[in-house]
Amino acid sequence: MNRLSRLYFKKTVKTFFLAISLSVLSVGSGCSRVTDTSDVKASGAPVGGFKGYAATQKVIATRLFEGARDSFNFNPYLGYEGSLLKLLGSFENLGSTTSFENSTPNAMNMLLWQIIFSGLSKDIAKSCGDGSLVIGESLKYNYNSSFANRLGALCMWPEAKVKNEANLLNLWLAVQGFDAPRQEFDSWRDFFLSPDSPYANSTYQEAIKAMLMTMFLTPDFLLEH
Amino acid sequence: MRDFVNYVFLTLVISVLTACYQTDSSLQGSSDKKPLDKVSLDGESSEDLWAKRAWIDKAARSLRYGEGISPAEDVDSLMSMPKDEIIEYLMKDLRFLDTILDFNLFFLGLKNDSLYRIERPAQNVESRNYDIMSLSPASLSSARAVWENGDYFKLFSFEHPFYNDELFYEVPTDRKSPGQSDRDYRLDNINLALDNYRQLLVLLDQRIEQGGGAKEFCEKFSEIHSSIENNLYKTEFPRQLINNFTGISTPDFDLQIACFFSDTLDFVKFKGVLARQMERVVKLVAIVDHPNVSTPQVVKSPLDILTFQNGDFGIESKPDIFSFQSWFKLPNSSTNFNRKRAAYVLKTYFCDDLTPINIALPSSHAGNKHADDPSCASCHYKMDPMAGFFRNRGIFGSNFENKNIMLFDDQALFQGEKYNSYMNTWKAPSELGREWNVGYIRSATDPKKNSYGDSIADLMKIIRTSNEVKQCLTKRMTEYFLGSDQVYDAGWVSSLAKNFEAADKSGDAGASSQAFKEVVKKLLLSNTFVKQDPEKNQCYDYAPGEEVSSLPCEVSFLINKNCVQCHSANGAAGGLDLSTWSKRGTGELNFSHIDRNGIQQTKSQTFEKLITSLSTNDKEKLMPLNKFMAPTERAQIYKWIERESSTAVVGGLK
Repeated sequence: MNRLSRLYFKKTVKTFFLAISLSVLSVGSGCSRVTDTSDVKASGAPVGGFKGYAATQKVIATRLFEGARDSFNFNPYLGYEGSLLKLLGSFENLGSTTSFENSTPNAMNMLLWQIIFSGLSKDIAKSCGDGSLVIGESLKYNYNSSFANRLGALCMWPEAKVKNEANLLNLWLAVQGFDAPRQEFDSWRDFFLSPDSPYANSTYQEAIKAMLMTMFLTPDFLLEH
Repeated sequence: MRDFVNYVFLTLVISVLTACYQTDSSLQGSSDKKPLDKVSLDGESSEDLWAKRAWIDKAARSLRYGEGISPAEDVDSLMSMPKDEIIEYLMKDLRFLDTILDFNLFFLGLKNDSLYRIERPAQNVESRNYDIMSLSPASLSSARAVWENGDYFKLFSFEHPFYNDELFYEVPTDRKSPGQSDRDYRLDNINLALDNYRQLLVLLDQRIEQGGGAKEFCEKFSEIHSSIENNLYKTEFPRQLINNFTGISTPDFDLQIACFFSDTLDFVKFKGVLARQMERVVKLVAIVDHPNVSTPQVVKSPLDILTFQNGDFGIESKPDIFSFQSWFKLPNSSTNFNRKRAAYVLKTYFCDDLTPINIALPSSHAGNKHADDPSCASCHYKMDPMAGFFRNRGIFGSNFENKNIMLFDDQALFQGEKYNSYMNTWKAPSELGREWNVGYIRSATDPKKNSYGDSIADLMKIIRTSNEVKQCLTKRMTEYFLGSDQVYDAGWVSSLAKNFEAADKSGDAGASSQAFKEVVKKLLLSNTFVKQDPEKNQCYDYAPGEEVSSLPCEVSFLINKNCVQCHSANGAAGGLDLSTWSKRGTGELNFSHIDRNGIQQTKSQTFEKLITSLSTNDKEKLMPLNKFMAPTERAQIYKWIERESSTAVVGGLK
């Protein structure tokens, strides 16, 4: 297989497996996490929908950036096609009433989230040490000092001195906050710190991108609960 | 090959991370390696601390319009405070005002993804535009009232000031003469508009002297009127302010009818209308120098929105139940006769979605199809009298009171006999002692239960004083702060609503604001709010002292309130005991329902009986027997029965 074919194969396989995991995510997000055994829980009915693109933008803007509350948005990652954001959970004034539409995870909207967060995670990972996120040619958002420091602490990945629980916990809390139960962090931490982790020896861009994506694309981050 | 394996592994791990969560032994095993209380969390941490920290962030997002705790905030201080004090602290943040405003718009069915948009009225200057006049001025009055400890129930008020939510922009330099100030530029354009008015008045004087039809005048009027509008808009004053203060964009319907239909216009009367409009344009001059008008205008919160009270500059503000945008969304046609507007009011203020449940008809009624047929009357008995409040409001909500015509949104014009027939839709028979059959109807058979009125002002009074509205408001607050897909115990919601009912009785204007904050606090301290990943069919909160029964919580309180007095274990009327819900001999969850032969009925048989009893139009059999049940409570039980019926065994209801 020549070099171009190998690159193409790599991309195709990557996309294929991400699509599979997103499909599982779509199904998995409908599952309940309560520990008691009620009949209702056994039915697997979904218990939460998306918080919506607007609320998710605000969470990211508050946790990561300085002064971007009203400016940060996902549009650049969807080709500035603003109407696609409506598919990610939004309030619609339908005639004389308001309702929250498109809140249920499905393959289409999960694909859109994947596109958004893939782009965002990659750009954040690229910006390691810069102090700000730059999207495209000129769109710039300054990180708040806390996130800048926590991100910066991982910029020397895969060096052993940065591979520790404290650095990972700091990044997790910066992005996820305390929305997810503690056990989620434990599993996530174990995955990235394991010597057998596929990111054990990857570049910092790849590792940080994966860390961010695996935080963004979780029910605790995306869903209202 | 290595990449292939990596992708498979990554896929599996992501799937495990994000699929069904359980605190089973596999995850416990991994967390046991590092017990929570031994792991650093900017200090020591524990599961309780983690949960409290999560609650603080969630509460902050709820109270600060989506903005949680930022890294720069002093979280340690918050962690040391009890939760109710944290809530009080967060409520002192100006962003809480955005939350209240957002909730008010949610309640009125007007919420958007963003409460405001950012504009730049000058270079390097950002300002918010809330667009509140086109949405709901009452929402802003009410939100500000909470902030200032005033009357939250301004949400139901007819009266409000004029909020200027279009921003004052700097006049672009290329529009002004060299060295000309914004002020002088504006005054020049106002003077040009006044010159146009003088032209029109001369034209009218000629018409009055010479006579003639209206249509020829209309052409010239249209041209000069456009010029007036252009000159006024060139001032770069917010257009809404110009339109509201001068009335320049409000069509005069006498003129419209003359120009498009009759060709007859009272020129003397119309001259008076124009002269008054001209006087108002003159008063725009005073706004140029108003101390609160700054250019460029910067709005950082709802408190900064420029407010003009009734009487400022001699202007009368025009209070109305709906904004222009809302009237536009609620058209009145020559066939719907305001029913769309009525349905909106019932759904929005009373949480009555007009679930069609047959009703017992009154012994005397209007004798039209909707009143004769029980299945039609099930909605129309409420909708038609409510629609009567809007009988004088036609196209875009224009007021046609005392004009003896009605121009509808579908362009149909009723006058003469057609108009009289339209108005007679709501005329009450003389024996009833009132002029109109207009009001909020709770019972088709007992008029004493109903609240009658005449005008839209009466409607707002009914809304303001009804306990159903306070219950509905509380229900919507629950949906807003806790989620709309969740089931809530009606008794709990009702107990929260008592805060508003008590506030009303106190007579203290600030009591309603305190009640609003108290309800918000209770919602944020509720089990539902704290619960991670709640089951949407399960209730987590109950009224103080309420016994949790085996009945499904969605209807438990309502069944206990309306049915169990006669249908309980002690004397189950008709063999039906509605006080317990459990698996019966048939294997289904059901009430105890024993027939004459002592046999437990199937779920479908029981539910068929329940549906019939709740919706019969025979008042001798309508349940609860000889007792009033609020329509919204009946509807809630009915809808639950319908849903449960769909899971019953074939042979019953589907």
